[in-house]
Amino acid sequence: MEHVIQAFGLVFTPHVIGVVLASALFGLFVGSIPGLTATMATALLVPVTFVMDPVPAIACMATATAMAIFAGDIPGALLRMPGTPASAAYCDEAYAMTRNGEAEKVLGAGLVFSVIGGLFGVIVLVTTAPALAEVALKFSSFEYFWLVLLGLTCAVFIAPGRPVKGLVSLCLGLLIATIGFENPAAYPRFTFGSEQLMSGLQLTPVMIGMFALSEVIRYAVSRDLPIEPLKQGIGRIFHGQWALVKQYKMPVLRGSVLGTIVGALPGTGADIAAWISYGLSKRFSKTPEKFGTGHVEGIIESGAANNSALASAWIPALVFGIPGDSITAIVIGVLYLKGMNPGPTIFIENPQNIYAVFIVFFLANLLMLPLGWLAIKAAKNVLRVPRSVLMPIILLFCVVGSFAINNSIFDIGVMLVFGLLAYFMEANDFPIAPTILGLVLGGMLEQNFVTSMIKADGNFGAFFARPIAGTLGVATLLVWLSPLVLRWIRSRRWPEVARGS
Amino acid sequence: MRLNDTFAGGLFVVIGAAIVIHAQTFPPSPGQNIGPDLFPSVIGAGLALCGLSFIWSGLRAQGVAWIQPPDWIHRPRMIVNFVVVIADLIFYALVVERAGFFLTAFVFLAILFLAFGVRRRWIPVLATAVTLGMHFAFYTMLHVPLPWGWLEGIAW
Repeated sequence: MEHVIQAFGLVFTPHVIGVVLASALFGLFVGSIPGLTATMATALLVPVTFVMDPVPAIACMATATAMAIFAGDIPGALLRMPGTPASAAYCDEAYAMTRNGEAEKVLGAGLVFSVIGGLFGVIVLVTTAPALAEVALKFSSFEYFWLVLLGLTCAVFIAPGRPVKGLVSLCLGLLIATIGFENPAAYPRFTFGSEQLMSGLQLTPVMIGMFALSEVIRYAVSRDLPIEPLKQGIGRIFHGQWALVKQYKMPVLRGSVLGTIVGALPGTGADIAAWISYGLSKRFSKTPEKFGTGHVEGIIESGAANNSALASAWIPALVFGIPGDSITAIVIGVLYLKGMNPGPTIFIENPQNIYAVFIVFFLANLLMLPLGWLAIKAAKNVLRVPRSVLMPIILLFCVVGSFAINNSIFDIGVMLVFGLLAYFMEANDFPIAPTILGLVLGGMLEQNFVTSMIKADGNFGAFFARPIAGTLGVATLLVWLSPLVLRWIRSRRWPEVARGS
Repeated sequence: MRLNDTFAGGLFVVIGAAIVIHAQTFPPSPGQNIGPDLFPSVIGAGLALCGLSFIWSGLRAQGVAWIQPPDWIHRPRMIVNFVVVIADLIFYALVVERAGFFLTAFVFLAILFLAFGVRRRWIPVLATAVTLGMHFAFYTMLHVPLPWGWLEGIAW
């Protein structure tokens, strides 16, 4: 209890509240502008959090991302351009509602159900993370090895598209993680005599390149569509929302639960949660024929799902150090920098900081109501900010931010290389998230494997000897085998379909 | 720019194989059965296997160009934009330590504003304001030692 009181003391200081408010506005702005994503906001915040204490640094990122994911709904509804990828799933639906003259209703629903989904995810985070940490305390290198491998596996197989593309992307990330001498043998690998490569690649310039520079390049080579100014004003957005809550209790619950689960799985974040949730909503709806014509049900369900995914992604990140999505992959880097090494012991060594993070999560989701209302009211003006002015500013931010980590020009080059790489990967439909996960987790995977092999004296059977490790191991192998098994079942049941495909 | 599956697969096989071969030069760890070569070798082999799978699917889908240029290749404006973004970053990295942050960032921004079609009379004002703002945020607030270069004399 004393830790909780301490945590309140850590959060409710003018400095932290100021940081939360500022990052909320930043998140709302970034989310509202199509082409700027929540992940980009997080990557750009890393250099800014450098001089901050741990609690404001984490508060800054948690708040900005929650706001950005909600704000992504605004341009989706008004311009048919999703502000962040997490709003893409129901963008057409939302725009159809606006065209039917229901702009207030859809924006209000986006806000209210983002808050509900967000709070649901936070409650699950607050209740399950400490309990999971108790269990995780008993984990040894065997369990961690499988856990990391299972996480990486999920990232490959749950990502949309062909798993083999996710696998290539993962290999790339793991390879980059092997650069430098920070490995169990302390032998400098793939440094090619470069001193800068000795300690490996810095995560921040890589992230800024992959998530921010690639976005700027994409803008540079696309036609800048003139944004049409809104004609109608936006009135009472909260009007009638309570009736929607009562009418759509089940979809809200389903969206929140699904979002929480998808978010907690490594490598899958808010955007995938929203896509799956929208699909489920249509399937379970009593009126599926209304979907696509401007029907609020799918927006409610997937709007709740993407915000709940955001919070639950922190569960594996805090408890195991395994990020639930790209955003928490960045956050983990920051946690290490701040000396709050993620893992079950963080709940023992720094409980007041963890509780403070939880409080910030509640605060951010509650603040979303008034600030989101303001953002919707201001949308008319925010959407008029020309991207031709914004993008150069972001690019300078990328450059200075990459430089700031080590005060090294080399890191600007790293950012450039990875920005180009991410741009070409996305142009060829390779997912980016597995690369980032491989990069963040590669060291941990190798470390735990080598430690386990030394403990087991080279006997691989030991990886299945402990109950939890064995279960995790079998689960991992099953996920790997699932495509083959599915194909086999299909060929048995529908031989003609299998041959046709 | 889209690569055809066969071509991309071939690329992955070559890269994967090169990594496996290079990893064999890593010395074994004394007294341990796992050396620093194992992990990169496994990943390299994995990449090469993925490459083979790509070649297989590429061969089955014949008639796809090896390299399909991006659709913006026919729009000179977009090509210029692409080159400008990359060249501007290289320019910044090469020049900033000598010329200092103020001058480099100003030119860096002005070039981008020009390329992205911001109205010319606004460019000097915008570039100056953003440069000063960014310097204040990073140098004054976050204590990042942005280089002064030629303006060393007026450094604060």
